Amino acid sequence: MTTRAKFPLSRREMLSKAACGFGSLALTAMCAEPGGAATANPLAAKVPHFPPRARRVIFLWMQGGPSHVDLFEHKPRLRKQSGDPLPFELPKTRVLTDSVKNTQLMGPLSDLVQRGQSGLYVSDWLPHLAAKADELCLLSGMHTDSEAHAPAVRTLHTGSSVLVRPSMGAWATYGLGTENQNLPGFITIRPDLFGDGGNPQLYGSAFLPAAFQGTPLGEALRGPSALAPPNPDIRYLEDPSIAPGAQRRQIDFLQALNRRHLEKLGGDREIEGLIQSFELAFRMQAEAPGVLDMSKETKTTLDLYGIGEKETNEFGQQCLMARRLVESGVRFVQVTSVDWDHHAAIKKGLMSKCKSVDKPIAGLLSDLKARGLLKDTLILWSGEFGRTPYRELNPRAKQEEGMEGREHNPYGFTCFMAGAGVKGGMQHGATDEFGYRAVDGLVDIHDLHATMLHILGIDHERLTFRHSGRDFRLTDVYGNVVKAILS
Amino acid sequence: MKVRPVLVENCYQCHGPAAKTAFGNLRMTGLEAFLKGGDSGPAVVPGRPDDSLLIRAVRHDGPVKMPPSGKLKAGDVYALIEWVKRGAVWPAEAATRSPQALPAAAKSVEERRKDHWAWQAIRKSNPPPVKNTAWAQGAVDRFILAKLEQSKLAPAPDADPYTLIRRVYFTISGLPPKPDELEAFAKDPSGQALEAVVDRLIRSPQFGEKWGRQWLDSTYFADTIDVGRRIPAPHAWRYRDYVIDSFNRDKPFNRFIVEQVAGDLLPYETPVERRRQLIATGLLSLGPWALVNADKDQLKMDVVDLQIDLIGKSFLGLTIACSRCHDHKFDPIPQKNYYAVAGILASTQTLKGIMTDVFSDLNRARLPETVDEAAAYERETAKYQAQLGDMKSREDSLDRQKRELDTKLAAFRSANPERIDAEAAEAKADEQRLTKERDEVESRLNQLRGRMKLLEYMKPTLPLAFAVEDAETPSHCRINIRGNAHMLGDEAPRGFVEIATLGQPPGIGKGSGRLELAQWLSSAVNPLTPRVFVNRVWHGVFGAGIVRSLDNFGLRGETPTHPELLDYLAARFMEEGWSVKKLVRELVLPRTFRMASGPNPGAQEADPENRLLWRMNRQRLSGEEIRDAMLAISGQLDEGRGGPSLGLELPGNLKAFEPTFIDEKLRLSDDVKNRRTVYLPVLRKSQMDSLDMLNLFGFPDANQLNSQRSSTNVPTQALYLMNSPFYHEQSRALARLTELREGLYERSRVADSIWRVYNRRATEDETREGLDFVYELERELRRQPKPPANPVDEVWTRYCQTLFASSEFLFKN
Repeated sequence: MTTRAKFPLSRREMLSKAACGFGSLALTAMCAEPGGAATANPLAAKVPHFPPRARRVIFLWMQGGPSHVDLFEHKPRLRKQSGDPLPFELPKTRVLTDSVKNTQLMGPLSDLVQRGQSGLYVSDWLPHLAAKADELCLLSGMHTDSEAHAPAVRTLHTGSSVLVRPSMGAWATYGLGTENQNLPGFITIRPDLFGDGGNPQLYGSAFLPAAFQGTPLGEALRGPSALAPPNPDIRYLEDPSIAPGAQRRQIDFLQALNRRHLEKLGGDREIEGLIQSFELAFRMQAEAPGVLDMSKETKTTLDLYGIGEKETNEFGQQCLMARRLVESGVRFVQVTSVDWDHHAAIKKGLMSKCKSVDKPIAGLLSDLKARGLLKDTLILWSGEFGRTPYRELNPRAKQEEGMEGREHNPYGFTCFMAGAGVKGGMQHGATDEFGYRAVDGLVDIHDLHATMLHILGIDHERLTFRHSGRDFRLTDVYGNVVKAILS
Repeated sequence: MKVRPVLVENCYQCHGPAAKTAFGNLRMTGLEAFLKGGDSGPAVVPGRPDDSLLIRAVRHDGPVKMPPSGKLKAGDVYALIEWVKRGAVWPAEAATRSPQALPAAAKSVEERRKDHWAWQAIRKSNPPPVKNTAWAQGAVDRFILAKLEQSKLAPAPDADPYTLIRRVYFTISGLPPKPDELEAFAKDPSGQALEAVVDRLIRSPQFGEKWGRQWLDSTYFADTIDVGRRIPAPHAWRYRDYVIDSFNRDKPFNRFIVEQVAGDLLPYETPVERRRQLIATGLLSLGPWALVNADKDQLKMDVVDLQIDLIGKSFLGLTIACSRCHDHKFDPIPQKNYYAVAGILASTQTLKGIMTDVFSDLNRARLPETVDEAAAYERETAKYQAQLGDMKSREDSLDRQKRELDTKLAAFRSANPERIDAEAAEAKADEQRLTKERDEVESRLNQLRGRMKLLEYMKPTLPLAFAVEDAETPSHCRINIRGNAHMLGDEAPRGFVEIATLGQPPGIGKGSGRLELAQWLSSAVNPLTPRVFVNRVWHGVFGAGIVRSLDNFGLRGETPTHPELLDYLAARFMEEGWSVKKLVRELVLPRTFRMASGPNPGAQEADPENRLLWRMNRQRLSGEEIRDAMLAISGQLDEGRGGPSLGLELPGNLKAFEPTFIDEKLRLSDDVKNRRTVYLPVLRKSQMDSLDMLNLFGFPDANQLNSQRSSTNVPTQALYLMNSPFYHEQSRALARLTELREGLYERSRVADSIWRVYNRRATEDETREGLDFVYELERELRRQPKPPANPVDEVWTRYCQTLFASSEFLFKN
């Protein structure tokens, strides 16, 4: 079913039917400023604080905490002293589980090899990404505050471990608006994989206006398409029980009722807003299915992302969807990959997780580049923390080879950026010689957020929102832009 | 130069004036101490950074590398070097004071009292004189009208009776009028009739449901605990029922406060009273606690912080929690005031013990049980034990089978070592069969064990409530430097927030101080509590507060539009025994409430935000009002009330991991699913799929304190109104309700639908257009490749859906 057939109205007709018309949208877009007063259309594209290096972001979230010591950090001493008792002390404030009492160092499980011109170390388990080493900017001095998932995940997404705060995607959209008024400005792909409905806090707008919250592409509600598993979908996007023409008839009637009501009241901003939201919903209903439908992608493209291969099919589709969305003008796209929490059997588990994302991410980078999108799209790949260089073994589990895992490590880990705004083939910062604590080029989550906003042309100290009597920021009172990595 | 903050943040934990032991015998109390140094010799040589051990340590270029957690930021290192270079001057007084205290120049709290209206005593003034005495009917009207007249504005004319009655119903009960009630009022729309309707609604149980829910917005109440995982809070409903019941009994609001903050410490005469008072402390017990935090000291202080935020915002309209890490930036709330209250809450047990793994558990109170409950408990326990016994014997038998198979397999394997002869294939098949059998037994065993775990979780108990209690040894709190529970500063004696205290507050006795805290919150020494609550009720009635920032009465909050009226109402409220019902009645009967919400271009120009209230504010219905109203209109509303709502007993709703948590696809049980929203489960973060309406229409996140609902319009809401199953189901039910009886025309079906959904008579035009739509849509549907089974039903359903999705239904005029 094509978009055209569904809503046999030209764009012009559709817009002229909108109560406020496109003219007013464009006007507010021209007048709007980042973080300025609420306008009729809060999502109108806004002018950044200074010339941006990137116009949009794809955030690849590796939920659970990928092991940096097995993937990116070359630590010869860790390899050499594998099996030794810990040469460093663990923090005293935490409760240790039985699994890490009297633990020992555990050397890297994969081969870390220098790649490309830059000589960055990338694991053998990420061969496709390794081939792109010269495009990656590794941040190896990352650290965060919490070592439990929930608070660390919240920190990564919102900058706050305890309090409910707007997510980084909401802030970015609040600051810049969106480039396609027929689609949401911030979309998160399959957050439900994380469980619990994907924790809407992680893409929520908290006290920012609801227009900036992430729209989830959940598990498909529609039937399977040519690809299996089915495309991720926007909730309530369609009503399968009515043909598009008949629904258009119903909606025209509805808007007539609304306009009559509005007239009777002699005008009302909120009701105008409601009428406009129906028009936006229509346009979304018209445009989104086309954007979400991947069935017209070529075999070459599908292959590039590993779609159709067992291990990479799911994440490949998500990455391809991310490309389709940024290509259509969505400002901020989040992609979720779950189960990087390798407390046990890390060798097998991590290898298979690597396999599932390696080709899709490399494919995404190639595809964006080929389409000229990489020059203004920032890619951010990160877990909520890293993993310990020492082993974890549950005393109740089978005590056999290959059952070891690694614990959470908030004290040091690696994330990477790629694409617009950052230097490729660079490693910024480092952990100590065992990969435990970040010691050089320290970057905390606030710094990461500040840097991301900076690349988007936003001064993180000036992007504020007045709530509960004070001005709030994504970075609270913290955050330093990591200037060294900027291209 | 920010030298001290660098030291405080990075060094004081081990070397600060308050550190338990000074590491390396270096204690940074002042220049003296730096010159003397510690075990490694002098730490600072003024003017010579390169020779100063402190500088070499932070540069990591000497034998000592500090801080141990990793190098300081370059800017911080630079600051320290500059400080030493310039002679390492250390302000004399700073050495002895708490590192967080304000500069001495700051005004005292009492001096700052006159800076801001909210800090001052409530002054009851007489209603002002007005010119248009015919319009103003009471005190509220005169306060409003006087301001309008000052600005040369006139109040809007009265709303038409239909608009008014709908407004009265939604405001007091959260539901629309029933058709027969509407008919009765339409026949006699007089003032007395209105008063009678108001009084009936205030006495109805729906009053507590509407206003109780509004109070819950100001709390962290939810049916789950923990900020991350959905761990069920199976007793939380008792607090929700307590709140609704309190509003319905018109419990004096000051008493309501005392019970919620210190109910466990109050005397009681009957077990029923005791029970109610214990349940009331659910206010403090239920919250978005990060139970999984392995750092339990920090967790405890995080819980205290969230409780302070609750008490501050919900009772006092103060952002006290801002003073956790430093003195409040705007309001006169020093950090020591924060820790004075923190000491009271830290001496209170909210969490208790470990649930499982590192997850902390909540404190629970045994409630005095009723005879019925005791009998039910015995009955249920017997059933439970029988079930458990049954499962145990099945477990034993499966376990035995598994062990037998294990033995057999082992024997088989040792008897059949790797062979390559003709029998090998046969032996292999045997082994595979045995293995398969064993695996099946094992999987059944595991399933059974999962069910047993759930059964154990659901084990019957005598009634329990989530409640707080005093810790065994109450004590003062020490200031947490920068909010870090491991960096302790001076002790702050338990007490209250000075700026919210006029005169002598209660002295802290032997216990935690919670009872005194409750008394302080609800007594006349506190000018904020009555103002904040009265303002919240005003907001509930008029759609915007006299102080528009409901939770912030501080310097950064909004200025009251009618300060004299606010004080007048607050004073009246206390005189009338803190009666919420009387207050609501006093606000819905005046002319002010009866104004139409229509336009007035001149007034719009002069006061675009309607701050002076020249007309009624038009409001979008809240998520639960939309849902409840649709159920009521479609005849589907279940009038059942009270009791648990999570449906934990439904198969699949609980997951037997540890700790046990609610499945994300939680299903509603049939006995509650069509009840009013207030009786349905509230989950943290977001609501269940079948209640998606709430997620889309601004239902508050229980993890946040925000008394103000958002009413933004976003396209995802429109998609929901167009395409969601809930909308279809309710529209279909309404269409069935309006189905034609014999002798009626279809035009009367249109009129009936409008009567039910908009609560007014249909106009000629509307009837005609409605019919046009219905006929046209029917033709369209019949032309569809797959026409619906019953096109007539379908079009009427669509007609009803359109009404439900339209602005006239969604807004309260």
